[in-house]
Amino acid sequence: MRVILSINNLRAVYLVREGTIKACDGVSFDIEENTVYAIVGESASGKSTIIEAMTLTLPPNSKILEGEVIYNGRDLLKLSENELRKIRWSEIALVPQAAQQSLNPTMRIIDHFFDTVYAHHKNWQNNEIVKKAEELIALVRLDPKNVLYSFPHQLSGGMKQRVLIALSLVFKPKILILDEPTSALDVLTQAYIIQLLKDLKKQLKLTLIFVTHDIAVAAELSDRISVVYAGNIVESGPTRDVLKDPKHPYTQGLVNSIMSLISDPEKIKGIPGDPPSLLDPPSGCRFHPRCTYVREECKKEKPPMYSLNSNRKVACYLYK
Amino acid sequence: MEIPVLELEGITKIFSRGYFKKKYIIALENINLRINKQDRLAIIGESGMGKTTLARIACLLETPTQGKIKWFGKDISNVSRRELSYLRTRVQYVHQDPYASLHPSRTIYATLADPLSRNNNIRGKELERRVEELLNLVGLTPPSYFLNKYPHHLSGGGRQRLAIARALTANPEVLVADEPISMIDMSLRATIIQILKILNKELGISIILILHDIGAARFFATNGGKIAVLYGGRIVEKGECDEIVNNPLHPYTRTLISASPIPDPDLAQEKKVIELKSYEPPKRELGKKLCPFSHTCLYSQDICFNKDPGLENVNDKHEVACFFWNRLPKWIPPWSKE
Repeated sequence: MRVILSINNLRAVYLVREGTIKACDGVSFDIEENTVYAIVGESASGKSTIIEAMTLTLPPNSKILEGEVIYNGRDLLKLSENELRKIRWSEIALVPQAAQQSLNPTMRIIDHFFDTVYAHHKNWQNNEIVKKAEELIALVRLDPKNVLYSFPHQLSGGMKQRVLIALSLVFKPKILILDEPTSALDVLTQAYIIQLLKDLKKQLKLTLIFVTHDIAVAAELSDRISVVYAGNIVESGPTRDVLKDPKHPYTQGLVNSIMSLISDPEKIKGIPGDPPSLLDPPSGCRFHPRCTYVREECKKEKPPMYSLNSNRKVACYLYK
Repeated sequence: MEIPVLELEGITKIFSRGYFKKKYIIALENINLRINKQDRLAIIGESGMGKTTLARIACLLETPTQGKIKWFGKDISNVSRRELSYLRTRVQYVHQDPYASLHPSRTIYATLADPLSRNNNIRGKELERRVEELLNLVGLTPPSYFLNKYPHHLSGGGRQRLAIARALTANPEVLVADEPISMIDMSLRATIIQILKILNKELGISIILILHDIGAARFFATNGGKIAVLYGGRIVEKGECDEIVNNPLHPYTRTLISASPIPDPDLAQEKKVIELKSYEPPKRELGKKLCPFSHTCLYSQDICFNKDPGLENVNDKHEVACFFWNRLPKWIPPWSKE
């Protein structure tokens, strides 16, 4: 399949009073067209930073040090603000984290659609916009008559998440990026959103990239997966292979710590130790203080990504 | 018969809002629970179903509108203040958010030593030994490394361990934990539940754990623990954990199980989530008798809208509040290949 988006050696830092937070440290991956790509990691592992850096939506106190994001043969990081504007939302759309707070509380839902269309200089007629909005709201299985003329506070968390997904589809983007689409939602709503995203992907031939902390959600939705630990990708490959046979000690620990209904309760076990601070990450492999297979070389130098086969890569000296 | 350590009888809680136009919200309705010594009970349900209110009422942090609370066989409304202040130490509460529940300017030693010396009347070397023992128990090892640290030096998981250790300073017989894992990193969640299981097994503490994730509830309660499912302020199903997970009888429990994500891509592809009629919140009205799940339930009939299904015994390990529990289709787990 054709690679639609390719990220090479992306590095981004946050500048804070205490120093620099190395939240995204040399991240590379390729995304194929019409697939679902999951980025899995714990909180503060830099998984949101990766997609914010990729879409150039980082907060002001951050800096992209190096790397490229190739889309259609062009490096997004080198484009001017004007050229970027043509790609943003029309070709690559981003649904931010915490849908609850991303909508303007003083605007009705329909006004968000107007706002978005005006902001992208599309000379659409107003009735066209309303028609499109109704279509999209129905697509995410909400009632357009009701929802479009409500204010955000009149909708539940799951409804707001669906409204945002509808809003992101206004210009038929090719790539939809979602940051934690199911966190802060109840179990039933979460299952509903997962099903909705699966259907949308099929119907609209979308490429989905999403970030989650819940490996079980990634298992249900994604085709390929990257596991992030402390700003580095430690393992990536087809979801099925990675979850059935995890290679990196961190992925193994993560898989063993899932408390799902099908896992054997005798085998569920958390990973000992705490996630590191990114202000002062451990030397070498960032997982080494918590790893049971730690060797001398792990402490000295960061392991490169070793290819296991054409699809799978893992950053661990065990697979040298 | 054994005296339960904690018993709730017919607990109802109604919150009222507004002054001129009073609005009533029924948070809990007719809850009956018995917790024996060394019991493990997981209470599950979505947000807004009354889980936290139930936990707070059980710990006397909230007064119920109706109903009786008994601690160690004594009706709480009839005991003297002096006795109550002693009894309060027997039942301890672990809060949801460990970032808010710990004092930021007190060291870990101070957080634990003060309540320890007050509750057990110990000082000096003995006190230090007990603090270290507690830290070891909750897995903050080596204790000497943590004694002079502050809560902000700890991760979410570390803070929750400390909060649990603090609850243990009073040597409680009952521990009520309200969603202790919801604000914690994935890789550490299992550890926190493991600690609670160890406390239950080795110290014989009865534990009530509030959760929204049925997978975590099963991990906590499997092998002898119990699960109670809350919906719309009522217990809709209650019983031995393995019985509930393997043979759920209430349509809501079935929906919850089918919605719980499973980490196996092959099975997940096949999995069918039970679709409901609507996703509206439960209907609750004062003085109206109906099943709170009736408006979304796939199997609801007229009787569900007019009559209140009380908890009914299926067998000695399982109770369910549904008129049609024995007429529902046979339960097949949504991930099974049949």
